[in-house]
Amino acid sequence: MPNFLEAFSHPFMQRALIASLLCGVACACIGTHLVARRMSFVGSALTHTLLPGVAVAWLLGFSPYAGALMAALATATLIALAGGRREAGEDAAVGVAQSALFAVGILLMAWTQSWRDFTGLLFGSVLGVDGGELIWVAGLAVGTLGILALSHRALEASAVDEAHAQLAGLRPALLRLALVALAGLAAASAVRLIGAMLTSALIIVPAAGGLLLGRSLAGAMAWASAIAAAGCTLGLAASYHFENLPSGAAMVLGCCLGFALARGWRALRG
Amino acid sequence: MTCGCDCPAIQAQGLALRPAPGAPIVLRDSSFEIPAGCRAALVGANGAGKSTLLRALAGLNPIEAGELKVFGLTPKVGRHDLALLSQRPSLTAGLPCSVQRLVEMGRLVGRSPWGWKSSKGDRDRAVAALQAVDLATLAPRLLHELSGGQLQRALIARALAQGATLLLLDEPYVGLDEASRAALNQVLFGPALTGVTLLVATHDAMDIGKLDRVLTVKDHKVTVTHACEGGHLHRHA
Repeated sequence: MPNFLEAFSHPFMQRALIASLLCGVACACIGTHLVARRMSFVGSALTHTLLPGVAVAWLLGFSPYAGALMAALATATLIALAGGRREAGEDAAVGVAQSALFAVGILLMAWTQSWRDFTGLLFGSVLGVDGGELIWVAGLAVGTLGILALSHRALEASAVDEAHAQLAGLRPALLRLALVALAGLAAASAVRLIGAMLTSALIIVPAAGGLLLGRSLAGAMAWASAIAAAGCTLGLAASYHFENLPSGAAMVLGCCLGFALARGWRALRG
Repeated sequence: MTCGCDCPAIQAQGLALRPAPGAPIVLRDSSFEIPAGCRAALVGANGAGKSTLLRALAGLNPIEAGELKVFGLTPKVGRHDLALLSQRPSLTAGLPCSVQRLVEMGRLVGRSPWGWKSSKGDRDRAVAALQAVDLATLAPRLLHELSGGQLQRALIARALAQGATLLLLDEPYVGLDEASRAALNQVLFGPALTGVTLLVATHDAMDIGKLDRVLTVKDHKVTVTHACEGGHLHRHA
């Protein structure tokens, strides 16, 4: 049995761990709001919509985080435009945004005629995170968590009772849109670590586990953060010790293990 | 926020409403008045416009024509004084929210909703409101663990924590058994809500205990069809 913590004696593993923990906690917290509101589909859609932003950044030579950030804002804007009318529901609007932006991403990838270049963007490379990227991840994660902390009561109230939230002067539709934009912010921090294709896993899986254990939204966020942190740490260590185990996939599987344990614990409690 | 005079709690003049922009008109040319402290029922068939009227009073539905006043003010200005207890609040089963937390949300009205947690004053006010509706022991329970009657009482506690002086209840008796209806009426007509104006939308005014007025929505009009002096409503009314 190899020493579990030995993996984190290397600077590249330490950077990977810090980046994963920051991004994992941010994604878990925002994911808790999404899953509690039955909006998991937004997390899945971001998997596709971030792609063109990252691809543009890759082609034009600027940070993929900036590209992902722009794509996240474009996603929220498209959802607002497509779903602004009663005839088109939010799920349809998300579907439109997802299809449109993913198609743009495919077009961009086709124009470069090099699909291999994008494998790092699709599946991530957390072990290659350098100091500059760590600052991007930290900025995005702390920014997401800060905005979430400020708007927590408002988001919670509008999720529990929209009519009462409106009486209190809140605008639930705008808050839902802000939540999508915040999820995009969190997803942007994850895109280089575990890739565009697995980003939704960090948003949905720990949150689903946290909601099984928490007796309040804040409690569920704390549990989700713990599952994300443990899953990412376990996955990173496992990918270090076992050759051919991709770190991004291992981190997601670590989170899935956390969810399975939470599910088992709930089943045992009845 | 009230206008400071002895205005009626609700005053409508030539009111016309539609449930949503572009939808057919449900109320037209309706004039009525509910004095402050009055306990009134709003009866009518499904789709008659009861919920639309309640939402308009809360400033959540635009007014098509005429005038609607809450304590002498327009609904959007006067709505801090009222609480709307929706027929089906958008409470999702997946969202873990305790009864205590729900009641604390009453304190958001008229105050800044931003931040992470409620103040101690707000939490204390919520505890007092829960005691008033006899739900203090259920404070840690999650909302989806409550019965329909308990949920209605929790929503009334939220209105008390808010300090609302006008309560609009949309079909609070739906799905309640006899005992739950009695427990709800005990709160609605008990000391906790003394001086508070009640407007209860319901299919059957017989569900409600003591009433001062009955407003009937029929053929797109609201009319006051019964006004007794604090007595029980009779079936023939």
